[in-house]
Amino acid sequence: MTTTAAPRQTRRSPRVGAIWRGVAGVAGLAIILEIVSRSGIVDQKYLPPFSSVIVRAFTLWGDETFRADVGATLLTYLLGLLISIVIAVPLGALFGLFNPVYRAARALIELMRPIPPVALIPLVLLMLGNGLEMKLVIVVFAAVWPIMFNTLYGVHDVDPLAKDMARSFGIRGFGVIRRIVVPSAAPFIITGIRISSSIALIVVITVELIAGGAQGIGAFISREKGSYVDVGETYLSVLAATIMAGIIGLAINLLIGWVERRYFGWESTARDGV
Amino acid sequence: MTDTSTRALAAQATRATTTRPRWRRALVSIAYFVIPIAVVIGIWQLVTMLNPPAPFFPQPFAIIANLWDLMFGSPKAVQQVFYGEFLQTVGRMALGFAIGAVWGVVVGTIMGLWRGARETINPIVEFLRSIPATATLPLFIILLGGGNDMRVVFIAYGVSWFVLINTSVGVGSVHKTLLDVGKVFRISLARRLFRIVLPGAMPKIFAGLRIASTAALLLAIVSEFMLATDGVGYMLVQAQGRFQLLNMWSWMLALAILGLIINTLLEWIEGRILGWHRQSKSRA
Amino acid sequence: MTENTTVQAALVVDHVSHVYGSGPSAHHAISDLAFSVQPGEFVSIVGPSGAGKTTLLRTLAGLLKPSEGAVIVDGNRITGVPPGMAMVFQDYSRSLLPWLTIEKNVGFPLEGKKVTKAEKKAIIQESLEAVGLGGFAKRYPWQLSGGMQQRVAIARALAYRPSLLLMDEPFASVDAQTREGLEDLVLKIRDTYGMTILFVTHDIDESVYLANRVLVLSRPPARLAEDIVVNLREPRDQITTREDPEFIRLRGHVARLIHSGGKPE
Repeated sequence: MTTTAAPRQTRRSPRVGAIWRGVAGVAGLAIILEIVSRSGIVDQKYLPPFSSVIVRAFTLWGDETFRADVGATLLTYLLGLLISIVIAVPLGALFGLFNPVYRAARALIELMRPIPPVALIPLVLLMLGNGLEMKLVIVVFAAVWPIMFNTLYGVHDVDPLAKDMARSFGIRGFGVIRRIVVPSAAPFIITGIRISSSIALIVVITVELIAGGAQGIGAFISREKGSYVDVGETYLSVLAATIMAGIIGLAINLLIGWVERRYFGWESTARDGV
Repeated sequence: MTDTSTRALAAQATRATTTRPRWRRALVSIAYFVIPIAVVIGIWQLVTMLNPPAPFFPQPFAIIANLWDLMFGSPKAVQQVFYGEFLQTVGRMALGFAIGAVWGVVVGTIMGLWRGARETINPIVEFLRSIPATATLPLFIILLGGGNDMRVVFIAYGVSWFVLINTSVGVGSVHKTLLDVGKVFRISLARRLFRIVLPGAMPKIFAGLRIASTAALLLAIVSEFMLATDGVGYMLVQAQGRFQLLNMWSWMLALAILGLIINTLLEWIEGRILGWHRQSKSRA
Repeated sequence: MTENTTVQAALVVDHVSHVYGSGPSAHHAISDLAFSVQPGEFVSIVGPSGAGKTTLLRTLAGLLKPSEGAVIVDGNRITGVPPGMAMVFQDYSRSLLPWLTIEKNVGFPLEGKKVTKAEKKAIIQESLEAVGLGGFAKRYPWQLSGGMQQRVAIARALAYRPSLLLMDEPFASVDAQTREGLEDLVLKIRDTYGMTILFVTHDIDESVYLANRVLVLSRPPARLAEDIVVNLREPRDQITTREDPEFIRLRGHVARLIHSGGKPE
């Protein structure tokens, strides 16, 4: 396995050009949507003007229930992610360090992995009712895999020469793990966490959407769906909430990505999209 | 020197593993696969047989038998259940996947080839794809009703993002020299696209397709949970509503099997098309 | 009847310049280059490390449109890649298509060209044998060593039957002994096929060993420092030619030119 150095910083001017083009793209799309909507080419019920949607998306934050829902979703998401990390990292490390253990577990893993977490919802709903535990079970089941595999990969592929070097300096056993294996595997683990993060958020919102329940962005959307008489208003509201969910997800993703680059940017061969 | 001694050790190690007879290694592999599963199923079966019936965890053998009964128990069952439900789900998935994949490859290729297009479209893509696809289902329902068409479009929409991004990266990763080769030998644009760019991007595109297939299954199930009149997801929810645990487990098993089949199928196709990629990587 | 004494030049470089970027950060890669190449000549282009040589070659290949000036191939000013011209790239591992066998790689330039299957097969076989890889048709690039991969790239260029062959530091990434074999291979090909060859290199010895003429470029903005005619005995030999006093004198002269950045001594 070859390691590549972290990509060099791109020159200034192409970067600026990219930003301008990106802005132009978004602006262009917005304008097109606005015109198509207001002119009535597409019924305003089904394609509300871009401006209205944006306004609605941001005024949502004024709604106390919405804020509470966002909080509930984020809480579930964070807990789910944390639990997943606590389970997946030691497991992944165990598998990475001891191949026979991994091979023994492999059959079970390969059987469990293809099960869509969503498919478990009916069963878990019956078992645990419609509460936090139920959501956490599903979220954790979905989010452990990327972290586990990336940890495994990171631990497994530590440069043997680095380990030899440490041992030649008299460091043994756990010291090697602490000072060579962990830092070496850390970028991979962070990448796994980033992937799991987006999975976790999506699963939380999905579960809320499907299982009903009182709280969460998914629940909010579900409620809004049936709450207005006017189809157009309903649509606008659902659209705005959905877009907000996207923005939140994007923000979280960017944040973790930033942390990843800033603190773990020296290693850029971690597997993406397991 | 540590350098040569490590390499010598590594060489020794590879020699050691390759000199053990092949059939023995195959046997060990199979053992590793079968034994853990057998153990888990065995424990589960034993526990459920010995204890008073635990409502939530039926006996595994019973689950399998029930699923068989449900789908193939009688000619009527085959007609109604296998074709009516199971294949419905499969059909939607496949169609949605196909449409989404084509769309994703087309747009992804455009983005991968032209930096200008990529930079303009990228922010839009990044934003749209972070909206959980499942959360857009209510929108689709409002827009397109609750029918089959809506479901296919919904799946296609969700699937396209994975394919698009992976295609864009894959196409962008085709080395400039390869593109130059195409230009220098005056190969037409169309041929350059289909004989250099797409084959070169195929490993990444395929990775995207595999993720997309998982997503297709997931979205199909979600759409059936929320609003359906047929399909495996629908049956699952129905069984849940009637507290029919055995049926629920059977349908869950059906979904797992479906996921497994899809995964294996794609892996097999990948092995055929991308054999060159795996071999050259192992060499490197 | 008077013989037509003016043989049309295979290649004319007409005051070509190229600038990357604009404004204060602009990089003048090549500046006012002018020379011509007769059919069948072997011309080496050598110069200090920098963007000049590759820029020039890409301009000659039609891959790059020069900021100023024109490139004229067989009497026609080129717009884009001209026909009858093939190129061998430095990075051989990236220039072969990894998903194709050797023989399919060699046959690749014939895609979409009017060639029958039988003809194509014959051309491929002939090209592979010309580079000494007759038996490797069914292998894949990753199964071959670096030198062999570059031979495949040369065979591919041959299969295209070009009248003009451009080579961009083709042996820079190959070890010294393999390089000698490849150098002699190129000479043999020139003798067999009689094509015009432009050979860019940073290896001074190589540039003199192979060529009829050596074009020495200065540091960027690269100008033509000198156009040196090489009158060494044919056929060239790795050992005796390199011992030839004339060779030593020529390579010393080129070396001094390059070390001084292109100013004559």
